Amino acid sequence: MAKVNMPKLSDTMEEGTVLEWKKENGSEVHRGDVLADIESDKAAFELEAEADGVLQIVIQQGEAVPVGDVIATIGESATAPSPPGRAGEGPAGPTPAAEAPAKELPELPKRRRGETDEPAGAPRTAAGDGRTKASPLARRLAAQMGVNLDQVKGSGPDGRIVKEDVIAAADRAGDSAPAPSRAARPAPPPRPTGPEVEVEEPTRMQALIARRMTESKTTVPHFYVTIETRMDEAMSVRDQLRRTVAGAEKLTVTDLLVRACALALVKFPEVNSSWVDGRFERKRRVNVGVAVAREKGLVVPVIRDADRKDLVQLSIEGRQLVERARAGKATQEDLSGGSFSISNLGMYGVDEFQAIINPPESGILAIGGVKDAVVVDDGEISVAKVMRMTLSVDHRVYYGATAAEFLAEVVRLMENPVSLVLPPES
Amino acid sequence: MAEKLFRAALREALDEEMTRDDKVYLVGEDIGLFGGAYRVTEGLQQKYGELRVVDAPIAEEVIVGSAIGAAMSGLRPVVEMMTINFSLLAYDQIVQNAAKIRYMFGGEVAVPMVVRLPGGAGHQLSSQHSHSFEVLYGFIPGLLVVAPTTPEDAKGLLKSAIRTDNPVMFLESMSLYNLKGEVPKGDYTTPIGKAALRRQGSDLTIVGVSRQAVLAAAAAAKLEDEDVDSEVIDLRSIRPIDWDALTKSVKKTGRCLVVEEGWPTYGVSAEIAAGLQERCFDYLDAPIARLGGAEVPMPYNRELERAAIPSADDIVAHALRVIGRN
Repeated sequence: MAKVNMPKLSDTMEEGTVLEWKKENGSEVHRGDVLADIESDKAAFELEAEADGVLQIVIQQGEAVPVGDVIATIGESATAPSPPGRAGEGPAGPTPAAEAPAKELPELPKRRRGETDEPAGAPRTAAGDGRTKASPLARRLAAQMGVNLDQVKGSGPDGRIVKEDVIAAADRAGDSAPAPSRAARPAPPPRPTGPEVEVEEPTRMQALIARRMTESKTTVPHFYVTIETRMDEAMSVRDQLRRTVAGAEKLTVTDLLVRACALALVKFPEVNSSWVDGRFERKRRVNVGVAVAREKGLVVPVIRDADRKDLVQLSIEGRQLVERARAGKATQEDLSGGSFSISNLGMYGVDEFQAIINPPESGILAIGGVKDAVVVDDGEISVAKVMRMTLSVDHRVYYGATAAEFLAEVVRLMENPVSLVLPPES
Repeated sequence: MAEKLFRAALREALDEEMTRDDKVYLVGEDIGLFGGAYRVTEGLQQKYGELRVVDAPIAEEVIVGSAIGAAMSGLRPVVEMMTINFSLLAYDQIVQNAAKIRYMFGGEVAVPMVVRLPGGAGHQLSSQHSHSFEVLYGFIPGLLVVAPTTPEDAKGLLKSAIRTDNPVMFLESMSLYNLKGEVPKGDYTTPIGKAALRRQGSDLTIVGVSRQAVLAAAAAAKLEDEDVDSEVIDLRSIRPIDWDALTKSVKKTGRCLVVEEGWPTYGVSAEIAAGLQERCFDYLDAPIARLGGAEVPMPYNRELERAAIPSADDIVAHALRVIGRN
């Protein structure tokens, strides 16, 4: 018999909550199956089974227990692997599922906190050969939105999963209203007769973001410092690296910034610090988070030891982290341990903005877009590429002068990007 | 803008180009004294004389072969094949000479020739005179192949065809000669190689080849009653294919039906479907569907002929299947 313990999902996690059991008590589970959603102080994660067997739930959903406590057990399978048909019966007739009207929408379990009496798992749509039939578009969207196609019932010809099925499944997973039926164009919206507003439950991630951002903005004394950096050299170096260095084909401005910030953080240990329980925590490692937007939410995957990685490593690792995060597959390791974050809205054409610190980090750098601007050098007017950055600082951890010096160092590195290309000191 | 018949728009293009450039001449069977089997060249021999509007013997290979030679020598011939069906007799000249000479002579000699090819079915002309041979010419590198479906495009594309230094197969659907439509005043050209977006929609893209683009637009109106919002693209240029326009549309709608009057096996629709799945695979929400003429020699019987040609209702039915209804 294997025990399932409350996992430690982040550095600071002491207890965790079972948000939802994904498997019924007494059901057969297999290694790798998602057993439950667990919420830590930082985020929600999927807990996977590490053994095959029958699940016995110990802790009901909604309950919080300390890290390490047993929350369930996985015991010996009561039955041998089930035979394909029911023993003792004649040729299998059509299953009830096959008789159901093809267009009927699947009865997916409603996910709500605190509910214990869950209906059975979602239907699995599969072609006769056991392969899930889904259009290429549906597959791509499912990967992007983190939807498991095995849990989606297809409404297309021969049960094929099409785009709208994936969107509807993602909406249901987000506890929101069902998507409009496919193909039919939305009818002109009827004049609302009910209340003026519609109440929508947040997803767990949205609830978590709301709580943590409120906590940050009300308990962390923020101040902001904005600086402009010239980007001509950095853009040129980025383009050269893209053209000439294997692995750097997709190098981004964000990658350059991660490297510049990592180097600056090494130089300014007081910036690479946190305020925890009335004392400074100086970080020995330089871990830089990068804010990533995803469907109905935001996550901040962390690049560990960013000061010890070169641009190619940062680019490849950064992209993998972002892809995992977008697909909702970020691991606990991906999302914890940061001391400093970068949030880049440049691609949206933003000039500058102020970000909210993600505690226990003490700083976040908000990046605007690279734009052509008229600049003056020694009285000469010319056109140059510029980018504005705003550092949000926890005033308990360091102060205006340090913030300014730190930013000046980031600017110095960005304006002399050859220093970013040098191999990291090991 | 004025409303004009498709055939009148073609005549206007020929007339204006002959006035603009005295190297342009017409050659074909019964195009002078008689004014052309479809009255496209009516009145032009009186205006320009027998040297510039040449009544040729019934010898298609000679007509095209002589035109190729004239084109190599600096003239700009516009050949009228009485119908595309007879162009098979000149196929050797078109494929072996017109399409290849510029390449084989290292670019030193060009073949600025247009071959006008009235074609298509629907007139009870039976098996041998009802062909849609888009694919026979679309298949050949070295040729440009266009198929206008509006009077405006008929004039604009014919002018482009006369002005380009490469051989152009100019496909005219006989059923469209009496189509009326707005034609801009004065000199203008329509670029070869560009498809035309005839209708914007979000649920599926219907690509129509030649006259089927007109039927696709009619089908789109019927589909609207079924709550299906279809986008219609008139392929217009069969070679080269405007992949940018097709790809953009299919990436938007995620579904596509390609309709042609010719036989679909190895057809234009086959090429479009194959090229689109290569370019848009991750955007497709349904298999790309094709609809073409029945794979039989065209029947003479009126009802059987109708059954053998895709109709607007056939397009509607196929479109509904593509979006997962029926």
